[in-house]
Amino acid sequence: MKPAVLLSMLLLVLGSPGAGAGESPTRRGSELFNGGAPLQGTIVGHSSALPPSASRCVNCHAIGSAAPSSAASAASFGPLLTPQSLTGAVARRGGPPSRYDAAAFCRLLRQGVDPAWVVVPRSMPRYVLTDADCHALWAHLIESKQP
Amino acid sequence: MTHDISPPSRARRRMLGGAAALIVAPLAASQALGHGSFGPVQPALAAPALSLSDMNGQRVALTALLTGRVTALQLMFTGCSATCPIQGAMFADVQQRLAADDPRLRLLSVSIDPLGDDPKALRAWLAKFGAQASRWSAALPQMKEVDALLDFVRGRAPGVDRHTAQAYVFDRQARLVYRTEDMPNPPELVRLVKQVAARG
Repeated sequence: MKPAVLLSMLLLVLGSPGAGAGESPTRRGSELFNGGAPLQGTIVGHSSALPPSASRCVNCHAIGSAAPSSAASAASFGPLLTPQSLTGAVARRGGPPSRYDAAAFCRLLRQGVDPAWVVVPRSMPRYVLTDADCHALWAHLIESKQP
Repeated sequence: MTHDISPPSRARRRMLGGAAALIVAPLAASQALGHGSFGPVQPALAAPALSLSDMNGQRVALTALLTGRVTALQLMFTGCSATCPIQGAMFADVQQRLAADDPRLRLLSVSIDPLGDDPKALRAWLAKFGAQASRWSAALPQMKEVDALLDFVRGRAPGVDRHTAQAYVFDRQARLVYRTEDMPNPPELVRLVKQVAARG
């Protein structure tokens, strides 16, 4: 079984401290992704955090379960996020092939460093979020279905 | 612990510094030419003769919007969900920081999508960010003049948003005097606008 799937199952069992009573991590992740729950993000070099409406993931990223299609990628400002694109060995931003896991994903959100240690563009905010919320977002993305 | 710099050491440092300057200066100059879309604009460039719709749908010359004020201009469009919300938040922050300052320090959001935007959409976009009419307005160029505007400010960018997230600062003579980095830090933009205003 893939580590990402194992993590999802673990999160489902443990629940998320940031979520409401009985709320699954994937549901919490969906809320965070789509802006139903606020995320605190800041542009590198800025002194103030962005309002939640400007820092939600869905503003820049589309998600899906299938391999990235050119049409979906073209319509998305940021990379299309699919389980394959995240957990598969993919060369990103000129770096060597690399895969995300939950820890690498959280490092990217917080510090802007991808799994190949390449810094992502400044237009991607850096986020302050709990481990539980970060794992909820990860669980949401790796279980995502094509919209 | 202190680090004394003996006279020979100082002289050596000066020599190395001088050598480094000789090597770096031409490089810096060529890089500045190669990346001319960021930084001071020297000599300042007069705004082109473009006609825009203001938020009431009235045609107004870009130079008329800029003359007599110091203006930070940004490119945007209301259907842009990625960088434009961040740009709107940045200008809202700048507006707040300028609250007690001269009303002739202005913010102007110019849409690059005349087909998708209209004055009503621009008003709604500004309202979303709490724009105050006395400080922050929006305008819409004619379709045939979008390219001229993008070329003038050097505002093109690849990807779905098609424009940079820079701010372009104009002086009171409607001349472009500064192109900021992408997504400038609001306090820095405020400082820049005030510096331009102080020049007279």
